[in-house]
This record gives sequence, structure tokens and C-alpha cells, in this order.
Amino acid sequence: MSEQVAVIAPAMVAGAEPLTHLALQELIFEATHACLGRAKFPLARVESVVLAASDLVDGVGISSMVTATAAGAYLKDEIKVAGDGIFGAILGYLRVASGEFASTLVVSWGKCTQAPMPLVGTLGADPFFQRPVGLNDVTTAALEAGQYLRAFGFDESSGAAVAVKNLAAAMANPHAKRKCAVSAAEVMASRQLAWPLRELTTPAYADGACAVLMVSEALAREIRHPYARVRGVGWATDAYDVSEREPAAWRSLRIAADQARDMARIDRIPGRVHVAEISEITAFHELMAYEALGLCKQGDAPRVLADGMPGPAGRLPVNPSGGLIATSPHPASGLFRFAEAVLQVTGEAGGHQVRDARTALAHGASGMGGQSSGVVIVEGV
Amino acid sequence: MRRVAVIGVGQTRYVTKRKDASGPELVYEAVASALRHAGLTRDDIQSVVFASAPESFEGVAAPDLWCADAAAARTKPYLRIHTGGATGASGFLAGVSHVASGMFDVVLVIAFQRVGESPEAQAILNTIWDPFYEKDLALNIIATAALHGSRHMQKYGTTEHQAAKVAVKNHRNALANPHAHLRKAVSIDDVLASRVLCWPVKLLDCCPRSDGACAVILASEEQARRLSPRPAWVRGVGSMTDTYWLGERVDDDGFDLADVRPVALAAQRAYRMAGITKPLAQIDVAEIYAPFSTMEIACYEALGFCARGEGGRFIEDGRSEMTGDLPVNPSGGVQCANPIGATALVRVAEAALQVMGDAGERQVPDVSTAVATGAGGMMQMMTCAVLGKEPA
Repeated sequence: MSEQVAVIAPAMVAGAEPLTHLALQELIFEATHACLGRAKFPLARVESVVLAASDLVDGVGISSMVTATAAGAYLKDEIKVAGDGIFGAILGYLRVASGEFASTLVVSWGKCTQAPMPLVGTLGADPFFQRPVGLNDVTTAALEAGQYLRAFGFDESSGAAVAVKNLAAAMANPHAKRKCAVSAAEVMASRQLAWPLRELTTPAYADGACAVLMVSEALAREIRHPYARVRGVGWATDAYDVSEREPAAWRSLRIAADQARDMARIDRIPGRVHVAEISEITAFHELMAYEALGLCKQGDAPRVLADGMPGPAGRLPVNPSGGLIATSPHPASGLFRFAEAVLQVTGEAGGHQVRDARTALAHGASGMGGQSSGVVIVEGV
Repeated sequence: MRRVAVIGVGQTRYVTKRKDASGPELVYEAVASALRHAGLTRDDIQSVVFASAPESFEGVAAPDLWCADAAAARTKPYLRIHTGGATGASGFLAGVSHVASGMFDVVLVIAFQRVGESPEAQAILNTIWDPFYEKDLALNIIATAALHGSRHMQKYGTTEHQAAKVAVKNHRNALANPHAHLRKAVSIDDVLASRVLCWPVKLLDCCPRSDGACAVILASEEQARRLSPRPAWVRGVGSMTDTYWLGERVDDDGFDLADVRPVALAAQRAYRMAGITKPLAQIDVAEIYAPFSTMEIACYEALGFCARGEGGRFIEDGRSEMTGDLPVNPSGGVQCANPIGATALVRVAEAALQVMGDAGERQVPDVSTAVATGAGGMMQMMTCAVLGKEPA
């Protein structure tokens, strides 16, 4: 039988400025130390550590060699996921749910200001068929965004509306990199990357680290810190070749969310989930996310956005933290979403707290065009 | 913890460079082979764990996503594990967690590496060291293995001759393994006369660099009993991460770099779960992750096959030979094939084949219990798995 898994004391280290005063290990240490400090849970009692990071962003091969102990892993059972931080949370969940470990620290980070992000994005493309034609993370996401616009007759401004929402929300998020509310016109005037993507409709790569403690619910009660219970987990990967994915939809997110929903015994997300933190790899992907999560029918996302449903005062606020457009300490972004979701349901989200948020959904994505998605649904206790 | 068993294993052959297959094609070979061994189709796989070490070898980031279809992962739950040389075993441990959690009954673990895609493996491995204090010392795995080996020799009197015996044993064993990269018998004199790379490590004490992939299929107890006549049960698992700094691998019990402390600690947990209190008596065969001769000697001690410092004598007396008390590396071990990200899963796969009685010419008779270890970084992240004919 699976153990119930609780999530405690998420700690995020991130902000508007590059963290040049912190070496990578110091950044990781700050987040880990803050998490354990908030939970008042001694490192000696942590039984397991799950890391999620990227050698390429870290600039060091097998980077867990030089970073693991900064995340508390000295003489502990430690394992590293190479992918988005949400998959670290998912593996952390499995380790506790199985009964193997009563406690698991999950730590993820990215110091993107120190990494050649465009090159990192290009290396995900295969050198035989994709790189020669200029496919990379940006152009793949652009192709998908373009498919969505063409399928339903929308234009770039529908993406701009998402950026306006997220950047306005980010003003209340102390961890956001982009701290500037913008108008749709300013979004549309920002530098074009690859049609229909502009700088302000894509993630703000940033420096950051995030640590959360995942424990058995029995141990959570002993720790006596507000905690969230994991109700559902789902993850799924689509085809590598973007031409074999479902056009104008974010299939990996839809499958992952359906799995998490089923496990949580939730029949539908609107009305049952009160806030969603998703990894919008572009503003247009956030529109597809509304549809993948069942907020509306396919093609209706711009309308429900205009009606305010995913807005801060709406029926299902999406990205009250500002999402990736506000800040993306890649590949930790999904763990940041997870941390935000937990803070929402424990009432600790501060200036961007959604009122009466009892159940939240967090999403992270890996791969070009969001090929792989992970979803966790949590509830406050 | 829910019981978990290995019900199928697949491997490619290990060679310097597979010019006839792309990354996804290599992955496909191993996965298809494991599915055949288990009598399953890709639709039976509910979740996939992909294991590969530095993507700089292949030159393609996120190789798991590149190989998603070949790994039977499209639309399925899928994630990638990367812990350096321990990767394959860490992937295995993650797979065990998938099944033990109760979420999945049949899980595929696929491990992969194309070391041959890069012109010089050690140049890639030069990028793993601390960038501020150590990288400019031109450290590489061979040099650090030499530091370990020379320390073991100084502390315990281990000799180059004993180390050479390990290499001779493994090369001979590999002749019976159709997957092995190096399949050529060598003598002690050959080893001792081979080129010194970094004393005491000589060419024939070293692993090769290999392309390859290995797949292992895990199942819950109910599915294992239904699907497999002879599952290899996962009786115990352990993993331990030490400090990065080689000079700080010391503690109050007199352990230092020579003693490979993390594998001893990982084994402690795995043995406890598996009910192993007398390793030499209770373990029938071991696949030890040792790319260098002196590492294998140190692991005999760390795994409790002999007392600390007695590892040289263990090989000297022939106790780890195929005819000895506890055969070690009937496959030829890492010294005869090292597709880095896959290598630690190959140890698990070989141990599983021994328990299942499917190890062909390299089968050790009457195997009930087998041990497999993994090592990542410079013996920093180490794993131990105990497999057996019966569940724990």
C-alpha cells in the first residue's frame, strides 16, 4: 500500500538580479538550509536526497559530484534526475510513497545567467535531421505556438494577453526576475525570437534554487509545520519529432494532468482545483495548457483568459506567481511551480496568495516544445 | 515495501563505436531484447526510466527525449537519471521505487551511452572536476584511480601482481560473454608489461570505452509470478554518496580513500534488507563495478567478502575466480566493457541472469543470491543491489 506523502517548507532562492555573489554550491546550500530551517528538521534525520539539475546549465560534467553535498547529500542515499525539477518531486514522491524512505529532500537549481542558454537549447536537437534546419527549443516552441494560432484563427495578441497577466502577477512575487508590469503593446514590441514568439512571451532565464522536504504524513504530523498532502501525480512524454505530436495541443500535459486527476479522484479540474502553477514555455503554451487542463474546449483559451477565469481573481487562477515568463531558473522551474502550489495551499504564498486555495496543481516540463510533462496535485491539510 | 523482481534483461554488444546504429537504434536493440526475454510487448510497459551519463559523450542533450520512441516511452511516464558511472544502477533503483510505490506493475529501465561518439573520453571526463581548484590539474578518472590504487598499496601492501591477477581473471571470464567488448585472454606478464598510464594503473588494468545499451524489466510480485518462471527478486538495495573531495574521504573508523567507504555503506543497507549477515557464505556471485584492478580488490573488502586489507590475498588465493568461493564478474566486468551510463545496469542485468539461470556459458552453478554494485564520480556515488531466487 502506498504511504501518504506530505510536502513541507518549500524554500526558494531567486530574485530579479543575477546571483553573482553566490557560487553554485552556495546557492544550492542557501535553499537547502532554508528549507530545513523552516521545517526545523535536522539534516541528520533526512534519509534521502533527490536532485534535479542539468550538467549543461551547470557547466560541469556529472555536476552532482560537486553539488550533491551542498544539497545535504553527504553520506546519504542520493540520486539525480536529469530533467525539470518537477521530475525530482515526482521521484521524491515515489521514494516516500513506497515506504523506502520516511523523508526525502528534493533540491533543484539553475544558474542560467552563467550558462549559454541558446546553445543549451540547441543541443537538445539531433544533429542529423534537426540542427541542420535550425530546429532548437525556441523554434520548436514557435512551430507549436504557430500551429495553435493557425488552427483557431488567432493572432500574436492572444499570447501577449498571457504575458500581461503573468508579468502583472509577478509584481507580488519576490522571487520573480521580470519585475515590470507591461502592456500588450509593449509585449508585441519586444524583440522577436521566432514567429510568433517575442522575448516577453518566453521564459525569463534566471538564477535560482529551490528545496522542498517530502515526508510520510506520519512524520509530517510530528514535524508540526504546515504541510500539503500529495493527492495525485502524473507524468507523460510525447514524440520527440514535433511533427508527430498533436497539433495545437499540449498532449503531454493533458495526459499527465489526467493521470494526476484520476489518482486524486478528481473528476474535473475547474471547481475542484483552486489554483494552478504551470510551466508555460511560451505564452501560447499557457493557452494550450488551459485547454489541456480542461478549463475550456480546444480553441477557447483566449476567450476564457479575456473573461478572467485564469486571472488572479478568476475561478482558477493560473500562475499567480507569474510563471516562467516572470522567472525561469531552468531546469528548476517545475520545482518552483511545485513550491508555489504548496505555499498556496498552506496559506504561505504571501503577496500572491489566492484566497481559500485548498487544492493546487503544479506542472513542470522538459524538452523542446514541452515534450515531457509532470503534474502534481496537492491539498492543504 | 512492495516486492519487486527482474523479469527480463536485454543488452547490445559492447564495442568501441557502433557505426551501424544511431542512439535511438542502440536503445531499441536493448529494449527489444529485454521485451523478448520477458515475453512482453511494448504495450505491457507502464512506465520507463532512462539512464545515461554525461550527454557530452553523445553530443545530444536530453538523450532520453531523443530516444523516447525507441525506449517505448511515447505517452508514458518517463524520466531520466544521471549519476555518472552509477547511472545504470541508480536508474534501476528508481525503477524499483516506481514499482514499490504501488503506481506501476511493469517498469522498463533502459541505460545507454555512446562513449565512442566523442573523440576522447578522458577529455569529457576532465570536465567533471571542481572547476575552481582541481580542473586545471588535468585530473581524470585514470589519475584518480591511480591515487586510490597507490593508497591501497601503501596502506595494505597490495601488489601490482595481485592487481594484474584481477585483470587476467576478468579478461578470461569475458571470453564466455558474447556481449563483452574486450574478448582476449591476457597473462599476468602481459598486464605487468602493458603501458603505464598513471602508476600503478597500466593499460590492461583499465576499462575500455564502449558504446552500448542495456535494458531491465521490473515487475510487481503479482505480475512477476504471472509472467516469469524464474524472476530475480530484488531483495535489497542501497545507495550512498560521499564527499566529492578525495582528501576528505577519511573518518574516525580508519577508513580513507583506499577503502571505498560509500559502497560499504550502500552494501550495509542492501544486506540488511536482504538478510545478509555473512556475505561470503550467503552470496553466490557478484558483479562488481570496477573499471580498474585495484578498485575490484578494494571492493572485495568493502563488500565484506574478506577483511579490510585482505583483498589482494582474496584474488591471490583464487577466491574470486569462476572456480572460487565467490566468483566475481563472470561477465568480465567493467574492465571488459564500459558503456559508462549503462555499465552499472549491466552489472544488475548480469546478476539477474545468474539468478535466473540464463547466463549461458558464464553461468555460475546453483546461484541463489547475487550482488551487483555501481560507482559514479570518483567512487563517490555508489550503489549495491542484492538479487535472489526468493523474495526477501
